[in-house]
Amino acid sequence: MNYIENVFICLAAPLLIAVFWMKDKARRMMIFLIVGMGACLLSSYISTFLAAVQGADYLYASLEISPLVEESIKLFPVLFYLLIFEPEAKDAANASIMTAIGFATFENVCFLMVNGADSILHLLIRGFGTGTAHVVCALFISIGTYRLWDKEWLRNVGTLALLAVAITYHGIFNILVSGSGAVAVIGYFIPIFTIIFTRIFRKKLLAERS
Amino acid sequence: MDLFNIESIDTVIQLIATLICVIISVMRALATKKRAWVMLFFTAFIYFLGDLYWQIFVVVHGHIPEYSYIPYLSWYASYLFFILLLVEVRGERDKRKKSPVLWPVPAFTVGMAVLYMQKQDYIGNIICLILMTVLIWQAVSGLLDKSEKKKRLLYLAVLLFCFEEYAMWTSSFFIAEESIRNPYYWADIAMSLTFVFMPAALSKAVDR
Repeated sequence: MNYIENVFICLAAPLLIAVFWMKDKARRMMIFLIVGMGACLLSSYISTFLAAVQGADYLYASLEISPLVEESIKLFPVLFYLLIFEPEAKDAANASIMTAIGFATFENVCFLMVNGADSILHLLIRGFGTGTAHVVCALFISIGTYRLWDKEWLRNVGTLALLAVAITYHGIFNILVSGSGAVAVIGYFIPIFTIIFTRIFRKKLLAERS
Repeated sequence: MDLFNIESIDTVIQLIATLICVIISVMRALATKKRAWVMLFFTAFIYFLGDLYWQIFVVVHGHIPEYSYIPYLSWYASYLFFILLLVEVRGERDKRKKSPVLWPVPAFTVGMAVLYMQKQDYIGNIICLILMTVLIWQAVSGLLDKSEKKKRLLYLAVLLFCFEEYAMWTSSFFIAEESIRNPYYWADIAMSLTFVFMPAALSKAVDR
């Protein structure tokens, strides 16, 4: 047992206190950070349940089930925000990225609990690699929200299609990092290269639809 | 697992073909800022990712994925992006008038889905049935529309893609042999070529 619920409470408590003292955008972003951490906790329960139902071992669950569950659960808070509050494209995209950051942070904490914190080089690669992978997956959906979907039905269908992009990208990342040596290093660096590419073309990619 | 078998060679050819389509469409999308190019980029990119997931799994773990939800999901999403692409490029159409030529489309797709369901995978077949019906319907409607002459090549390319998909599904339904004699691989390689041809067809439809 590693009591991840207790860890979640410990991490979320100071952030929740901060929410009461923050205002407007900062408060909204902090809420999405906490929601992202909660999404990570929830998806670990669902992945474990589905793996048990399918009779999948740890490796297959992490390669074939968890990308599907994690990306879907991560999208729900953003979909709720999009459909209920109808925010501006910029706010929705920021919410998606903050949820991903919360998710990646909590996932890294869980990784530290299981594997220890003695190898700084490995943790640096893993921290940046996994964190960036989650942000890249959120970026796919953010870019779609920003510049592709101007009609309600198109936004819903398109977001679902982009979810599939995020799931497959996440699945490829998980396969590569499940390997050893050079394969794993390539896996950790792919999201970093992707984020550098998107940063270079940021202005063009995030040009808001007219 | 032998990586130099026909299945791996076929997947690598398709990876190269979809990557060519991805590179051309992302360059055109950045240059022209047209949404149709972004749609084609995502269509080819998600198909490429599905193939890549499959091939990397084989290389790293030595066998094909056990559950394969992820590659199938990505291929379904690719059909969805094709539909969005056709919706994006099509002109205003009179929704009340439906040509009788269109009615064999659902008859064909339902018939094929019933055939494939003999081997179960009901959910996957229903998803394919819905997506393929909409896709073929949109492409045939476009071909019948006389005001969309310059987009004909794109509609033909999409129809060719659908025909190749059905050829693959049908041949894999009847023949399980993993050799060059299996028509599945010929249809798959033809589909890879269709991906290479797709940017030229879209360029004719939206750039000129």
